[in-house]
Amino acid sequence: MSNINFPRRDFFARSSSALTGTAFASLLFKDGFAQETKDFDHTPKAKRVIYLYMAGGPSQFESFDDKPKLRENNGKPIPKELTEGIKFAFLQHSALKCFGSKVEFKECGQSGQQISSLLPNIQKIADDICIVRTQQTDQVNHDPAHAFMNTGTAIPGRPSMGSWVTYGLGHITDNLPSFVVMRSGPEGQPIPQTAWNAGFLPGKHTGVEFYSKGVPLNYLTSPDGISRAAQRSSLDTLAKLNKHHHETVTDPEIMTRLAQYELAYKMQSSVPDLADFSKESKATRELYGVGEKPDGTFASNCLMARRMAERGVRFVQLYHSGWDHHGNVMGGMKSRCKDVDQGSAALITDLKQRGLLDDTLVIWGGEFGRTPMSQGSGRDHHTKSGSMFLAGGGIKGGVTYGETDPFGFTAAHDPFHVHDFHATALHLLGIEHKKLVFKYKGRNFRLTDVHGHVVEKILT
Amino acid sequence: MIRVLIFLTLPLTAAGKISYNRDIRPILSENCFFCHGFDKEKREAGLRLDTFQGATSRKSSAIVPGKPEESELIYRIFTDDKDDHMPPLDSAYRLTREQKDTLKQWIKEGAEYEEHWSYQKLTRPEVPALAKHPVDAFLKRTWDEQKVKPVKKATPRVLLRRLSYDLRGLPPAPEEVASFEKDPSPEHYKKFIDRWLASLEHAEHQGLLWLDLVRHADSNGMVSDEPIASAPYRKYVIEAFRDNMPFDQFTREQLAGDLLPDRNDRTLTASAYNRIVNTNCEAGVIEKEALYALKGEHVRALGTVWMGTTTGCAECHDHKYDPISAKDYYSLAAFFDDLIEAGVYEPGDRRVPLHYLHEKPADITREHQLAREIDEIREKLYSAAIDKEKFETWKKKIFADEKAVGADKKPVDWPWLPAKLGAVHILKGDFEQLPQGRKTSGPKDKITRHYAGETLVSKPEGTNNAFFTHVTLDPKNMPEFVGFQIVNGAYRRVGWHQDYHITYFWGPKDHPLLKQNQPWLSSKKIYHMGPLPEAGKKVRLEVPKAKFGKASYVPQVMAWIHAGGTVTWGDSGYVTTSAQALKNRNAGSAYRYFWELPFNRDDRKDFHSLLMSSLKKSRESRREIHQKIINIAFRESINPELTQKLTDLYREIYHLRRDALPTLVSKVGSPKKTHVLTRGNFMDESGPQALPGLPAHFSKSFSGDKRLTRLDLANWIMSKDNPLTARVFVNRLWHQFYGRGISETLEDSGNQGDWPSHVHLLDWLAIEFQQSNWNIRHMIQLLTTSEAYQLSSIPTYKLTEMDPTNRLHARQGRHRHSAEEIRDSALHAAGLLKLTKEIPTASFFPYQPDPYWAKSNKVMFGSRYQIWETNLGDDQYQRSLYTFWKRQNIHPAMLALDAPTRQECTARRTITNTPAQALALLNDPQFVEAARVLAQRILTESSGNQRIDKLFQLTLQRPPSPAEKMEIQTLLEQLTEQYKESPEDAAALLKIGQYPSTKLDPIEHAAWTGVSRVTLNLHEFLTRN
Repeated sequence: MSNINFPRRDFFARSSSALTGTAFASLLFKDGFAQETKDFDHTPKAKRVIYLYMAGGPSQFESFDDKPKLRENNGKPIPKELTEGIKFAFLQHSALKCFGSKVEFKECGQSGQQISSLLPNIQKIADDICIVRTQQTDQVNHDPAHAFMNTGTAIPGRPSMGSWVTYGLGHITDNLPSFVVMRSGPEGQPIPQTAWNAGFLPGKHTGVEFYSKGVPLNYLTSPDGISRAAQRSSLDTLAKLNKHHHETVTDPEIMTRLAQYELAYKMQSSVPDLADFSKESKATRELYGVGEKPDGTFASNCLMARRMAERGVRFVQLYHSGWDHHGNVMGGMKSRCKDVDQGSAALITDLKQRGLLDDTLVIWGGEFGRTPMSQGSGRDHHTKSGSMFLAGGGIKGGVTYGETDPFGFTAAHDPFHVHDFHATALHLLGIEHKKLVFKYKGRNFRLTDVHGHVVEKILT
Repeated sequence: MIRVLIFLTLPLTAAGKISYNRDIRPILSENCFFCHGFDKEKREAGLRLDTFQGATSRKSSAIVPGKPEESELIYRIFTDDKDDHMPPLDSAYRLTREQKDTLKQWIKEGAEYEEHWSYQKLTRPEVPALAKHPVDAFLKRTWDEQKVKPVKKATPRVLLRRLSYDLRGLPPAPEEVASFEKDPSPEHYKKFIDRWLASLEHAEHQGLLWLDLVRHADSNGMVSDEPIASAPYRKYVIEAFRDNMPFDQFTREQLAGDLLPDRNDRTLTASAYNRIVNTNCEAGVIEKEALYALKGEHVRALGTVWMGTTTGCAECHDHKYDPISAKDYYSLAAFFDDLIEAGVYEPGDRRVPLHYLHEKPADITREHQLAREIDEIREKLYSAAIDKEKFETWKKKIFADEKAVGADKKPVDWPWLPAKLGAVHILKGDFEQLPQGRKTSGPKDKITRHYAGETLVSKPEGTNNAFFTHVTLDPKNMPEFVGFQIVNGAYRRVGWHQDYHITYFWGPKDHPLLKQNQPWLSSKKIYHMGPLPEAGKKVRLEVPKAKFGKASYVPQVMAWIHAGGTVTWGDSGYVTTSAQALKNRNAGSAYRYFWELPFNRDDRKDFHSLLMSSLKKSRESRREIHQKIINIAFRESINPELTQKLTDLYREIYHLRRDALPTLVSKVGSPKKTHVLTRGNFMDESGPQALPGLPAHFSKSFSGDKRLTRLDLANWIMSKDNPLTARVFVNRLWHQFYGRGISETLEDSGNQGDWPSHVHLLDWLAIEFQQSNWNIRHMIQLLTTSEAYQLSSIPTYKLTEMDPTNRLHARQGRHRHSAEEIRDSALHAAGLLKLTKEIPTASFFPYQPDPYWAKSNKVMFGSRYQIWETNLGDDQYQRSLYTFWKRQNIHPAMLALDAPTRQECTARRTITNTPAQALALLNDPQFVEAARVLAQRILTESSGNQRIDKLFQLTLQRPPSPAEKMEIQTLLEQLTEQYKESPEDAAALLKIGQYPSTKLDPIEHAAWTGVSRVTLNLHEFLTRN
């Protein structure tokens, strides 16, 4: 049976059009086998990724980048030489004034990383995380910036990071999709579903969205009136009929389809099992602050993410919306940080306790940072600086990477561009970012386009 | 396994001399051109290997023809020296031993270069005298060379099923299969081709492929992903295929339908092609950046749809592989600079400009007449010379007027909707225009709602403000209640969040009609204002300030409502200060001018005060837009008759358009500027300005002093000098009918594309297409009548071994049906599929899982409010291509079955085989309902032993084998047992879907639903063989 799970058509399509260089032939073989893969470009540190995506652009000045100088100059013009030639979104025609943060920062843990008091739980895991303060992007508006952060380009319709990873590494589990997305957070800005699309990669690499409450997946439940037994006997008959047909037409695709139906059947029990928190200990549930069922909160999604990590899901992306604080950034950050602080810290603590953190790369961050200048009581989108953190999976804990200028406007040194972020993440997964390519419309496409450097300094 | 695959991926090469195009170019292009190709900026060491001259120049001696041992290239690819080795060892590129040897052999043979196959001038190759049908003749030549024997002909049933799906995306009727099995003659076969080609289903099927290609969708694709007026374009595409419109005309109408001398509703609708792009309406978007992104959309689409050439790379640099320079890219982009389009739209924007389609011929004529007159008057009115003296006088008067009313706090009426409708006031709905107002009537069981869309907006000022309307109720036909709604907003456009619809009504305290769930009705904001007013006389209904309180948004629209009866509506609007009334009057000019133009919302936001504030500024500190608004207002003031005439024309045209169908349209404005950007950076426009121009490599003949237009572009695309269009089109058709392209990369016929398996055949077909006057149907007839088309799709063992990807076409292709074909087939088997002669002008909403389109995730603050309103009745069963296509949330079952999001042009869908597909096909209520109704059909239309036969006939158009029959019978018995034990399961299953169940034994019906469901999941049902 094990060889049946082998998408041959897909295989041939790729072998003829996509992968001609021998360097990628190895990638080709990984896909479709339900087993751990070995042919990496180098030894991987991480086997999987959990990406906590703060959609809307969280403010670094209220979270991870303390700028006393900004407070001193509150209300005064920001130096012109910093802002000249930089594109802004809402501040296109406005006066640019310094906006000091009203949040207190604390040196945390043995490492003494600075973390805002809005994130008390994350303060406690300071020594496990690597804060990056020089996140840079090319896109200053949400939709293109989401696209850029997820796909490495603002042009719509390209494959997302999770799709590249599952394309490159194949899957570990048969019972669950390899790339899962969940959402939480307040209403308002939409998160583009295309952010987890596979673009021109085969469609099976598209991220699968699990709902954070109720039945997690579209079409997961058998129709009313089709019992588990009825589903079983139906699938058995379907398999027999397909095999009869196979005898006349000998189409290998039939055997693949058979296997996919069996997978679907397994998912009908494995996915609900995933969402059954009653099997977690009381201590664990308390760590996250959740009950026996997923409740739609970020923390509940975090627990789902850990359960998925255990079950072999390669790439989990948890979106939490509501970080776009053009007005009242203080109030907004207070609420959003409260939403995610406990869950984020619990996830890392929990992974660590179970020995999973070592080979799980955890990412926390948004599509861009925010301006050190005020937009009323808020901050505008910003491409030149922003903060995120990374943990586990080959990342040095307790290290801060990059420093912004005294006004926090741009990187003073060690910029961390989206392309560098992608290159580094792929590196940790054992993939050389220049080698993970897919030929489409006559060109070898990469997640990092023609850019990207692995940031060695933050690696263990 | 590894060994097998590598063997399989080897190209099939003919013995003998090495050919540059076939053998060498793919190697060089894949591995070398990125650094040593067409892009002069990135050329490493000044070496180019894409031309003979570059590779053999004395300076480099990369290639010394005839002397591999002296050629640097050969040294570099064979050397063990890490620094010298090419391609560099840290790159993704590697040459195989065979590739290295091939290069060596080619240089030994003289290193002859050839023009890339798709750029070569088209000439008609001689047809080998090997078979009657040209397609067979060309294929047979290769079979003979490769010593391949084709498989045998497909059975009549398989062939007819294949033909039916290829032409219509639907299965044949069982009777048709039976009759063809009885008489499988070529004549009979041709009759099927002709009959099906003439059907609307064929046009729909062919249209679907085109819609993928041009990335047609119902939404704008970004952020809140709002609906756009694109359905009429879809109808146009289907009609074009229905009428077998020549492809050159089809091309011209889409690219330049607005520029044709004989333009009409059809060609204008076609020109929506240029407008179905992805657009953004985020507040912070930078106009210029977004405009350059749009240029990219236009050029990328042009490249994929017509040229089979990737143009996108040239945005930042000369193309690495193909002869498209950055200058070519921007010159192509400049063709689209004449379009009126915005970089940033407002949320809820209709994406003006729009064209309006009417049904009545008189209305169509009048629409075009009025539109022309309006254009003429605007041209005259808004370009009048500005006399300095008159301007100063006017300015003084404006300030004097402001001063005069400034202190006056007396409340005045500002009718948004004067009894006699004014310009830029749009009313939706059916009404009778009387001198005293508009008369509306409606049935008692429905809220009659007249939407006064897109009126002048602002918050009423002053302390005594109020909203009002004047009504006269008909004593003989009294409504149950009467009232109006105020729709708040922030972006001055119709379409808004449910909660911003505030309803005020007069009548009984409560009314059931006010409890319905509608996007335009918020149960939280309904206010009872008093009893029904006295009938037979004009009564003023007023909502005082206390009742509408502190709104943080701007009242933007008024809608009149009543339940039943007849109401005449007089002036409606708000009570405000004289000062605001003056400002509103002043803003009228700008509204009139900009109404049908996309506009930066930051400016439009404050039309009311913009004129005054701009006038107070010095000329130098005014932004361009400020000056424009001043000029517009001044020009209207010096030409009141023309202004009045324009207002009257607008009044008439808006009135005329009440029931018209809007469609996106291309419209010429003053051309935007395009610069050749440095590395695509829009902030650096220091590069030269690009004018519309054709890629230098392809076109030498098009030049002149006149600025080239989109029509020139279309003419060049379809000119015989352009070798790409015909090749690209017939290659796609070949893919459709033979399962893979002659060149497999349908989207790329350039250097990086797949080398065609039969280059002469492709050229012959391309010439045939050109010379048939671009007759698509002729080509389809040609492609479906060959013997090769009619072959079985089952490979022999030998063919599987030597030609697994079917490059030789010694058998037919086989692949899973598309998402649309699968759903349509399931509904068809059940007898549910709605086939119609009327091509819909609105998309429909099939069943969709509930949380999928949750408004929280899909609707942005400020965007058009939209809910997934599942269609009822037979509208639920329309063909899948009419599904509402929201780019960011395409229907989940279609997504699972590889339908593209249509953000980018798709020439070839990927076909995958996943568990998500299994879950959708097993559990989506669309398919479960189809199974239930199919079971119903079988139980009512047949009995006893015939039933399983019937099931197979309806789904697979063949009888079951005894073994199959037994499997079905066994399952039927198992399910019957299960449902007997739990009849509530049977009842639950039979409730799925809206289609009524006939009176049948529920146990039997449920069991048959179960076996029907299995049949609809059979591989054979899902596959084109």
